[in-house]
Amino acid sequence: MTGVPSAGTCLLWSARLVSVGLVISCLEYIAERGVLSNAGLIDWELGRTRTRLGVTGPGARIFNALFSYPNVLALVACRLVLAVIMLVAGPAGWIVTVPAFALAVAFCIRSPYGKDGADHMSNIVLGALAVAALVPQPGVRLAAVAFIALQCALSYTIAGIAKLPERQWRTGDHLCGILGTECYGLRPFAQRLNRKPALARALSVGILFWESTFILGMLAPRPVALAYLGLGIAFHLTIAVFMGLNSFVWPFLSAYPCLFYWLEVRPW
Amino acid sequence: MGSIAIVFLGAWLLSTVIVLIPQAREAIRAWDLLQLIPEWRFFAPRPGRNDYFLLYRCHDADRKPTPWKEVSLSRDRGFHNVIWNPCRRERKAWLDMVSELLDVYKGQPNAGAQASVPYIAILRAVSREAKASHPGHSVQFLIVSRDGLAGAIEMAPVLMSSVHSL
Repeated sequence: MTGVPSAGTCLLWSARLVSVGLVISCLEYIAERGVLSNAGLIDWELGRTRTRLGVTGPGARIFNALFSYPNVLALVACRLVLAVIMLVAGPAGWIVTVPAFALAVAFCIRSPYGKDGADHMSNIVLGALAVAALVPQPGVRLAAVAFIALQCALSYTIAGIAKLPERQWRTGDHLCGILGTECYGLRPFAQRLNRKPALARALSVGILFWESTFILGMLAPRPVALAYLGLGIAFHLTIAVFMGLNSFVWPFLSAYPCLFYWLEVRPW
Repeated sequence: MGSIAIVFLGAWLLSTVIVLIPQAREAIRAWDLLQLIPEWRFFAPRPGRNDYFLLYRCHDADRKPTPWKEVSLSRDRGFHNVIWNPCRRERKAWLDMVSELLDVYKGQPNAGAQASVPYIAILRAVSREAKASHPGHSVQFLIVSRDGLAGAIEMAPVLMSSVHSL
């Protein structure tokens, strides 16, 4: 087993990669802080009415103090500091990872608007890092690595299987439609792709196949499994370029050290 | 402690699979107060293929309406978004709100939908703009959609609000 990285090394790289995404996310929040204010779409004044915790009881006072604007910017600043520490030093013990995870969860509670799969993957990686730091035992570190790898593999496979029954995914229509939106696409590119239906279909079927068979790919012979991971990296970079989903790159790539670890330690 | 940590991670992973079962979904969501359980869908099964635009108009004391005006939302998209995309959350929040509001309208009569969080949030956004330009008037908003592959002016009305005093 010489040369095989330890589970701890995997978690170190996962922590660093997820931190890059957190740093960018925090800086984006600061740059567009108005969206968190009472005049913004992700505000607390209205969002707190969604949950009893935000309206009545002693918890409401605490939540109001933490989540109202501009106080919430202090939480963003704390997240930024913790992310920079993790970027430089790795998980750096529970004193860093547990607050980083707690703050990630706090932002999900504050408002459901504007969240996506990247936030979930980020929370999963931070949660696993926090557990591994709270209970520093080899078995728990291994479980944390397995947890991150399985969540990542499940994410692709579930998403792929959920798309399969939709005919428009298999024909490429949905792909062109998404790429044609201002929010997630580049309209000139989508319109050009729409004029080449065979290419659109091939791209869409390729994505469906890669996503829905991802777990099987991780069980396949090593060259095939490595190809799946290579396609995954290309996939995230491509959707960052064409869909503007920069937020997906770092949280998902932070799971890849754990997937590489699986390929190293599996018995075949 | 080691066993508890492993069981915790195992339960979290298992919940990610169980939440896919429609009968179990609501029960898991009811317990998932911290919103830790993901639903890995990534645009599946039916992705949003529309852009939504928010328009408003004001009515004066004689109920005479002004022309519709668009509320500007950040739509800055370019290749720099591969690294830096600060407007992404506002755009996603807007899509989430419209999607939730349309669901609310499907399930509730008009009065119930008007008390929903997305309706009030959107009304608040247009009221802020309308107050600046037409103080003392009433305001009404309209959400229009455009399919991702439709022409630039092929818009379809999706939802028109009641008229509200400013």
